[in-house]
Amino acid sequence: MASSPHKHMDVIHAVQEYVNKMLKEPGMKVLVLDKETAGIVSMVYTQSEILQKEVFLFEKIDNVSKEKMLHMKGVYFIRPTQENINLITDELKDPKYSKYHFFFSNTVNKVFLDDIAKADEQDVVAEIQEYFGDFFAINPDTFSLNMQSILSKRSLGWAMNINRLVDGVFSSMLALKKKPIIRYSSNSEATRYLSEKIAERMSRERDLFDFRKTNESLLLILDRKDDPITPLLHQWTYQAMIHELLTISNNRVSLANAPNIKEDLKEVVLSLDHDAFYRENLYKNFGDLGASIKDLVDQYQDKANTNANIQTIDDMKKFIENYPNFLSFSKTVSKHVALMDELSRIVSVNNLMDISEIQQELACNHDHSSVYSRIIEIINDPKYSEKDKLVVVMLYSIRYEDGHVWELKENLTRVGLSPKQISLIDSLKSYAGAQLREGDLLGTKNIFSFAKSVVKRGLQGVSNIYTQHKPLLHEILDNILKNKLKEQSYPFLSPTNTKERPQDIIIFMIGGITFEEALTIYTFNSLNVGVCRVVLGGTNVLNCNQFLEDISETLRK
Amino acid sequence: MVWSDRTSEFGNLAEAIRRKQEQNGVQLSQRKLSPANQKSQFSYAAAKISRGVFETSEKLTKLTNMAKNTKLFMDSSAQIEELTFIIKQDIQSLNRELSALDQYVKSSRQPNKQTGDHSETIVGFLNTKLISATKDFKDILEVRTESLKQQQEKKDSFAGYSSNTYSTTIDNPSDNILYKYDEEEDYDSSAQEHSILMPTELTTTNYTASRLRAAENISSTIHQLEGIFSQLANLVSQQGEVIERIDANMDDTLLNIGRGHDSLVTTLYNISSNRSLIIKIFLVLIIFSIIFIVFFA
Repeated sequence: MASSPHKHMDVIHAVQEYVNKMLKEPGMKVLVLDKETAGIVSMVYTQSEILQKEVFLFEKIDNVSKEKMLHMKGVYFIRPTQENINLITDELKDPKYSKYHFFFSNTVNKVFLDDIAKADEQDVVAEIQEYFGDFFAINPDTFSLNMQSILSKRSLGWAMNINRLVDGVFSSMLALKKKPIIRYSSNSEATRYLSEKIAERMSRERDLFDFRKTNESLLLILDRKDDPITPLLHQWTYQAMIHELLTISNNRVSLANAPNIKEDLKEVVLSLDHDAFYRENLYKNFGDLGASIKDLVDQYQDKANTNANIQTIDDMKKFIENYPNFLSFSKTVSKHVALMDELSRIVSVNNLMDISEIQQELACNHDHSSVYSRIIEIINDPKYSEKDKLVVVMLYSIRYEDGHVWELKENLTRVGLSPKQISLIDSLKSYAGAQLREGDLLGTKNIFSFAKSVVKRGLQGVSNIYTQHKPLLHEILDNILKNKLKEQSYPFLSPTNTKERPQDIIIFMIGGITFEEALTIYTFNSLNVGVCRVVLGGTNVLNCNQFLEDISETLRK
Repeated sequence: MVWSDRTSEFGNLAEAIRRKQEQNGVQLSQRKLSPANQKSQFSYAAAKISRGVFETSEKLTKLTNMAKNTKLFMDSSAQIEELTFIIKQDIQSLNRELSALDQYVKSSRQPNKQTGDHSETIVGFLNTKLISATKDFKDILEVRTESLKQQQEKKDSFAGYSSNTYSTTIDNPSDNILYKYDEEEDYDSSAQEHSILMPTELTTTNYTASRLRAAENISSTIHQLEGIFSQLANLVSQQGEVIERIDANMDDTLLNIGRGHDSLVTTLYNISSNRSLIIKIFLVLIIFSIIFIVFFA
């Protein structure tokens, strides 16, 4: 909320506030959620925290048990979809709970309201509210809509899910209490379409935006295709790595595939609020992370030792008091150690160091001859996995679109990749070829910037070759900060004459975001405290596998 | 964080739907009133009256049906009379209650003007409802009177015929006497016939008397209704006055707002001019004090 500065533009906090408000009603409650809101709530609240608020039961809305619980109040947090409304109206005709409190995660149209009113024959509906928590808050400055395969308008999911997309972005603006001006990426049909839809929605729901004007704010809608490199690269920061190699879904990570894993660690939960170690090391790179883990283990050993020597009654008392803490601490330690163990195992099995080096080389440098021979070597070396080979060639095809892509494909076929896998390279080109991209992804569109990047590299050198790549978002943010974002590339939806630099920025990327971009946002925000604050949203959080899958989806028309 | 509360909108919708159902004559399932949802005395009374009016209008429709269906030989005048009586009582009691409510509204101190207006509107609404019910009642009674009249006419025509037959039957025996004087049995039978006819005549007079009574009853009811009407008309005219007053108040408010705005503007002007004056005064003071300190201290 705007009142406390560090909570300003914080999506996790916003959703938490919504949930708090919902459960403020005293008395015994049942919290009823649908599939999506269950995810939304579980991202920001643990079950035990909700139980403290007199919630005695969790229900899925599609649960059909007809056991009457007239001593309970039903608190519904659901999306306003036709299905849910149907379920509600059926329920109201034969109510299970004494009172019904409906909280919709988005605007409810008149027809739905009418339906509910008609069904409410017994006068059990106590309130109907719209709480705009219609997105999955991942980090304080990052949210996603958990929608797969909507890379472009041609994708399969697009037509079916456009409303969900608009709902999600719309609710994020309201949750952050912003009435932004809208800009979009000019070379993309999808961004323009979405921004028009949102503007339409804003003018229709004018009353909701009737709050005291806060800071100058901006909604920038980008398209994944402007930067297809980032999701292909291997990541080396903690959160990004876990997602890349193990996939985080709704804050949960499955370790089921790891060898010799203990039963209780098969699925671990990574919550920013409850895991201090995770929170602190979210953006640390793999090397630093090793050191942090070592510290953590040392701490653990210390504690274990103090626990071991109990001499007096006083010690015992202390031990008993500290034991629950100690237990949860030990759980955290074992969780992170297991995670690290699994990550390093995957890294060494797949020789990801080498792969990442060549990936970074391709992403950042323009030196064809040496890179080409290295790629040929990698393709012919059986110790690298097929996927990594494919990704390297894809990166090559982005960097050198007119280069020897054809020969490399031949090579890939020869080492045994299926034609379907190889066709992804063409799909990528038709999705995000150089002609289709907006902005200067490779820094080669004009000589000036090319020279600048070369000089910069020559002068400063590179601190870490594995993390030298900066996503396109970085440049966009820089330009926003200098208020020099080009109007031809990122036009305003409606002509405005404000030339002020926006202070609160919501960036939404159609096609999904990556944790590397989340890191960029995080660094940007911490460098510009009090100047500018950015929240990044996307249809999904991508990792390489997901991105490849989405690209193959675009092929089917 | 933004949220919007649509509960009131929902409440209005639900209310509208309920009203529609009520108009369609759907009997509402007895609605439970939770203790949390306790209404004020006023709304209870208003609800009671409204329910009363509704029930009365139901009875009225029943009465209409009866009054229209009445045939010559299938007369249900007793029922009709009873129903008329009941309705009359109902309307009177409702009227009493309504005027009591009106008194209550006028006498009781309302928390604010809007609630007062609201209550008055409700009373007005109930008034109009009651008036329409009463009017219906009056119409029905008129219909009833009309039908009674018609029946009477019919009966008269029938009665004319029957008196003819009667005279012939009166004549007949004499014929019989003349014609078949010695046939005793026949004479007896005709005498019997005569004796049977006499009670019939009696009942007919009885019947007409009751009819007369009914008609008188009805006219007296109509008379009473007239009284009620004038009372109600009085109330309605009062309502109209209130509405006019509201209109006048609105105009006044507009005027006042305009005046307020004007005075605010002048105040702003005053303040801004005063500011410069104050600054000038202070300047003079400071210069004076400097001169004082430098030259006299």
